[in-house]
Amino acid sequence: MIKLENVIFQYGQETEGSGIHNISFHLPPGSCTVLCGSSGCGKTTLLRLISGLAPSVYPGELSGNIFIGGKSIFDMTSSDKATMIGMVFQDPRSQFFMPNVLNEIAFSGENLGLSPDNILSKVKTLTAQLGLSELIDRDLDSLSSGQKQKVAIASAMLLKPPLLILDEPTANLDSTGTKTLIELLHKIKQDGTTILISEHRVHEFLPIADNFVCLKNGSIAAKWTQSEFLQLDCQKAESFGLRHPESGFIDSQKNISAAAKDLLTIKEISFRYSKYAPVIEQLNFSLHRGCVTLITGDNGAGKTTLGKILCGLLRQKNGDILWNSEALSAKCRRLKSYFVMQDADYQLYTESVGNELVLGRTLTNQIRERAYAAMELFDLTKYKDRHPASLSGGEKQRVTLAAAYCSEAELIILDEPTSGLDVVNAKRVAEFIQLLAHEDRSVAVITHDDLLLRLIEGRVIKL
Amino acid sequence: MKHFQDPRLTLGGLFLTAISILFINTSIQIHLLMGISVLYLLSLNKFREAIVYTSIYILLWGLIYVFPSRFGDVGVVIMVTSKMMPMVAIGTVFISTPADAIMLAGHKIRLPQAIIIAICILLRFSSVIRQEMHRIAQGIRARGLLPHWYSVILHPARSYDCFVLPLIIRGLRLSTELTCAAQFRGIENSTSRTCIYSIAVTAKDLIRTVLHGIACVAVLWFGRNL
Repeated sequence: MIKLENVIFQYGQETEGSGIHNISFHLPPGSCTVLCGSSGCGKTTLLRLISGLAPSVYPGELSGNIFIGGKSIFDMTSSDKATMIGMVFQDPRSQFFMPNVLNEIAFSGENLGLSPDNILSKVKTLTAQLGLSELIDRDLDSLSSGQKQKVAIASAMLLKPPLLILDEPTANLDSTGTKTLIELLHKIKQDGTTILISEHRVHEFLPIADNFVCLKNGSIAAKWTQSEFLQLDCQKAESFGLRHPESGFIDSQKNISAAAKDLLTIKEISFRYSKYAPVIEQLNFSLHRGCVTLITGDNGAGKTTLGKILCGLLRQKNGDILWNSEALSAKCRRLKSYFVMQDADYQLYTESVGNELVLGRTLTNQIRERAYAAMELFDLTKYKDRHPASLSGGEKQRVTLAAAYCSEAELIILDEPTSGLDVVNAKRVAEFIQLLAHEDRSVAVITHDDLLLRLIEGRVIKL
Repeated sequence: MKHFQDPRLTLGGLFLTAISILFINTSIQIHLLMGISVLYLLSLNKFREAIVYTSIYILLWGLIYVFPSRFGDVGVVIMVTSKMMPMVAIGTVFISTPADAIMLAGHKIRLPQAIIIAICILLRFSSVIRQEMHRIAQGIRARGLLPHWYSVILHPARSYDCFVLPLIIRGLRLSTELTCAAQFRGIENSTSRTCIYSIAVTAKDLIRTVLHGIACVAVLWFGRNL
């Protein structure tokens, strides 16, 4: 189904990313292959090449041949691509063209001029197969991450393309959402569709994957069949930059010091968004100084909402939040807290990393020294004068963590800090989080990443 | 199959209203034109929109009548806004038409493919930009920058930087990702296009548009003597 012959690719100057060095492989029809490797190894670049996005959208120099179903990807027209390839991107939000589920799924058929009756019949069959029938009239904005992922897959599969490509499909999914996705892909595979997945959480795909292709520095480092991959131990997997179910187990038992003082005490808080069922009900717990608290739970459990309430971005409907044993309003909590969002792009505002760390504060020698110390600690000194927008996702994440470190906030909340990171980078983030908890601050980490839960010593609160 | 008024007819109604607004110059004419636009909304069962726009219109004129000389230049802005309300009301009908129906209408009148795609992206981005602005505002507050509602006034340069830079970065990222997604959805296919909704011109739609046109002309012609 997919054939690559001596493919070499190097991005142009305007595009960030690693190149591909002389890759050749062949994927048979109906197979499921997982592309894996550490961050920046070339997985996404390879997907872009196979789907024809590079060099058309991402310019660069290419040599070699890429065939999909016997036809060169570069000779394919728009309608050829629509009928041959279904593509699901990491963030489903950015691939939707329409406001509701029905329109979005039907869109490809409309573009290719299929009759309305034919489109509606295909939509009906597909939504029944993928368990989306109840969502058909819903607005896309009202869906959960898992539901959006399903709609993205349904939209890609309307024309029954023989090849389905997914870029990090589990990055925003919890364990339940991931299991549902695997079941969905299993059904699609049974229909004879070839599936190619780029992913960090590789072991999740063992039930459906036939082959695993591991990349390193733009070349194929290893190829495994399903049974060979099962034999890989933790050490071997990590040497390829891969996560393993046993990665991150720490010897010491997770506990918090009995002497740790409470910073925040949450008493019977509840919250609901208007018109919807309660998100948080009657919640009680406390956050300690100098400790990390891990807040976990399924998608839609209210983790991010809770984080926003704790730092005063949202106001609880009922209950009290005590700060050092005194009730504190949301507005005052906001002034004493720092919330690091999942997507760093929303929180970087200046023209250099150095300025980002001191933004909003009167520049004194003390603050300048602290910013330099933060750059040293978070391994950002070499990027001091770089524009934050020019950094990679992991580096941007480090800048926001360093900015939190520089701030005077007593409470720091991190929302899914390891989303889409390989094992090496996830371990580094875990170390940085422990750094933040020093200096008598309290750190709350919102995550559904099992690896991070294993890596960090701290109390776990499950919603 | 669900029916929507042909976007070309809606655009025609919008065009007539816009032309009328250009030439009317008395308060009575503005009131009449607003009344006609509300009837237009009601005939399309858009009761909620009719109530919302009527309320806004009454509120604006209430301000003008209650405080005729207190507002100074702001009064002029209120007057111009109220004059534009009939157009905004009809514009709602166009905006609420599904993007695929608008694209099909564009295809039927042989609009260039690039313009059809631009309309689709524009409609898509109008809602996305609102969400992105909200997230950026939350990001700013979450970092403790601009902590109070009046901080924007106290630090206009910083506020501008904080909003504009992430918006540009997000806009570029979204547009690249949407361009990529478009390649696999057949959006560039220019040979044929369909829509799951019916947008055929019905007698009811035609009568509505013609009556709207006649009413606009009548307001222009007879309204100046009222």
